[in-house]
Amino acid sequence: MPNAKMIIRKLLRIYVYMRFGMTNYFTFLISLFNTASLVWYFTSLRKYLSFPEFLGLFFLIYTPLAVLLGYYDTKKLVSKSTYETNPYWRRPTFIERKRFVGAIMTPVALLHRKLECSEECKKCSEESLREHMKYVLSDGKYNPRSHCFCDLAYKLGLLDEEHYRKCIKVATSEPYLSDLGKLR
Amino acid sequence: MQIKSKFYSFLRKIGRSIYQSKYFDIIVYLRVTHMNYVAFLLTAINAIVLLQGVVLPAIGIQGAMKIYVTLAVIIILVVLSVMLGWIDLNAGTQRKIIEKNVYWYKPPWKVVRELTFTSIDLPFIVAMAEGTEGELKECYKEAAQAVVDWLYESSFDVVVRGPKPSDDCIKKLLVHIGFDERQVEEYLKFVKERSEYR
Repeated sequence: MPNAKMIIRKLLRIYVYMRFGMTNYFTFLISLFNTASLVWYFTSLRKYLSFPEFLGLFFLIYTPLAVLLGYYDTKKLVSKSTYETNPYWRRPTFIERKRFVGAIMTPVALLHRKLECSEECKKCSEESLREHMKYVLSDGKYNPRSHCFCDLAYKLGLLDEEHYRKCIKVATSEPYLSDLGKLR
Repeated sequence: MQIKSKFYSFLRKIGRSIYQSKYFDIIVYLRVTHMNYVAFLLTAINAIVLLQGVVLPAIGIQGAMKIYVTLAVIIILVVLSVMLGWIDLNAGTQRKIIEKNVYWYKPPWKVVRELTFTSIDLPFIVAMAEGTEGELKECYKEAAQAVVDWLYESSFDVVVRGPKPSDDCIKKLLVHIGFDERQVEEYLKFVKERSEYR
């Protein structure tokens, strides 16, 4: 028997599908139709062409031009630039930050470390893996906070005082924007 | 040049205060509600009003028939939209737009940097730096600190630059991992070109 949560989730999915269908096909076609009607009605074109003739001509010119522009747009123009201007082009996400600083680690990475590094480093890897598993099993609710690798990097002389402090802050940071005050 | 940099720092200042403001979250929630529910609802209301008030009377449909036709149009539109939406997400424009994006097959800037030594993770640097001395260790130190700076600053700053250890260090580190020098030259040239289109 499906519970209320599942029903709501299903209904929301249907709503999303409906919005995509509406936005990408019906709204798009209707807006084209509206533009064509306005152009025909408010210019002297209606003296020379009937509405169906004008509509045919409009789509005949518009369609190949739009397809061509769309092609270049996808490859080189606005679509490409939109992607590149996204700040996450160079900003690490919360979980990438945790991964880069060693607060979590995937099992594959651990296998590599097992072969390569010292006992202390292996212990840190195992701790990161445990944090990673807790994070995954909690479905993202658990915030991994291991700073074992920061400690080790500091001990090895790879981080100075200032960077060690920054490293700990990143490793133990909260995931939400409103909690950024705690990070600073 | 000075005007440009002043303008840029002015923008950064505004951006930073907006980014760190909890009050701005209200606008975020407002926008999300409007985009996901209200705008759609308003469009639906507009369509029903136009149908009832303009289109149906114009084609001579009156009385109870008007309500039945409106209901039928709404049901047909909803069913068709759901069907088209499902197709669109799984096989139509939504899917194709993503797959036709050049970055579907080109590694984006962050990935390129991630794949180089410039932004590799701290555990890797620690593991590789163990037992090294002198110049090489200094390079690992530079890499570790550059990564930590990047991770730390990206948590709260508006404009984020990737970590940039010196070319000389990157070369030494890559050779230490096992690349030959010619390969490293080619690789770094490519990475530099890729980071141009930021």
